[in-house]
Amino acid sequence: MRILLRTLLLLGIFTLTVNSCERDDICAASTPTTPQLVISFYDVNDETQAKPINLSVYEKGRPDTIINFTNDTMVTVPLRTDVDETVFIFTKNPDIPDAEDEPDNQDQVTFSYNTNEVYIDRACGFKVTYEGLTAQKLPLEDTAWIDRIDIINSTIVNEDTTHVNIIH
Amino acid sequence: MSLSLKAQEQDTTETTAQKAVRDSVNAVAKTQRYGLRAGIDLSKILRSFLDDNYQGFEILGDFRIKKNYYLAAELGTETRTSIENTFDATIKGSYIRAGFNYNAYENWYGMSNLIYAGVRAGFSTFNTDLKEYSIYTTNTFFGPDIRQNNLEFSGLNATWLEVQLGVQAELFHNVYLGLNVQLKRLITQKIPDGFGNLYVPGFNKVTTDSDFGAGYGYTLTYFIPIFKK
Repeated sequence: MRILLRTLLLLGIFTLTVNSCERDDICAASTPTTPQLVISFYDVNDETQAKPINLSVYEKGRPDTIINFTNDTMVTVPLRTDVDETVFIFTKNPDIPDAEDEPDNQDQVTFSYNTNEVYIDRACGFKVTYEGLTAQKLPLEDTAWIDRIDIINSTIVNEDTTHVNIIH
Repeated sequence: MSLSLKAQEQDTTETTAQKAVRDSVNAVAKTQRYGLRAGIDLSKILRSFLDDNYQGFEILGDFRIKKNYYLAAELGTETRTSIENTFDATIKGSYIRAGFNYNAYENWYGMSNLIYAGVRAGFSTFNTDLKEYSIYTTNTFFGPDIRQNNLEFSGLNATWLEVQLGVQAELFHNVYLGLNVQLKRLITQKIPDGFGNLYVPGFNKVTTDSDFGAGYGYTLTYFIPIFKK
């Protein structure tokens, strides 16, 4: 009878531990989720040379949400997952009116693509990947600071490689 | 003289009575009761009341085929709503687990408790309803992209093997209270196209990157004796 009781107790404790590990909550940072667009900047005078840029990025119509980059040759920006284009205003040398090279110059850039919805796992849920990426530039009011946009990788599934080169 | 005679008579009657008892003990000890033990899993009923995201019912039974061996099976249905970080899904289905138990417990006279180890093969068919989900992004630049597509994945199934350890204690005559734990390993699963299996009825939670699962049961069963051997 004592063995019976002991076994009962042991099994009882085990059932508690089964219940306590019910969820894996956290989406690991190492898990690839919705990728961002990786843009590299090159010199218009020597296209093999990376050229750093001061850049601010906001979505057309929402100038309050801004991402700023300072002296970077490579930046990442998110793309919309709910529609198949994202329209950005790219400002070179924002709020630097005495910059040598194109101060406070705005260009509009439209990225178009198709989205794919992909299930990752319980913790991370769903991500979106992109394919068929194209880009269009439009100078605003002033002269264009973007000379050319080259699509390097039209399929965006990770952030390991550059997807777009901007020559300026 | 008359006193000692009486005492002697008492002695002989006592001896006869004791002998009779001993005989009957031997007779009972040699025969074992065989039959069907059938009942329900109490834990699933209790959890259905306590947990808004769970509904479950299971019937189970075993049948003694040898001194220490029992054929055993569980049959049940479960509905589980899985609330995750970026989505909610409801899994609904039924299952059967069948195998046998080996009783390792040497009972005292007149008792028929069990401490057993068992193996089962499990099979489940189920549907998954994905009600609402959002796209996981690492930044909040655009705000959440929430989708209410109400996707339904039907005709899903899974098979698994499990080891069960348990106790069956006789509470009252022929009424048993049982407790068991189950360790399982998924063998096959039909994964929904564009989604995953989060929970398999009868198997319990399916974890990422692992085929192992665990479960438990608190059972109440009734023993129906069929024959003695």
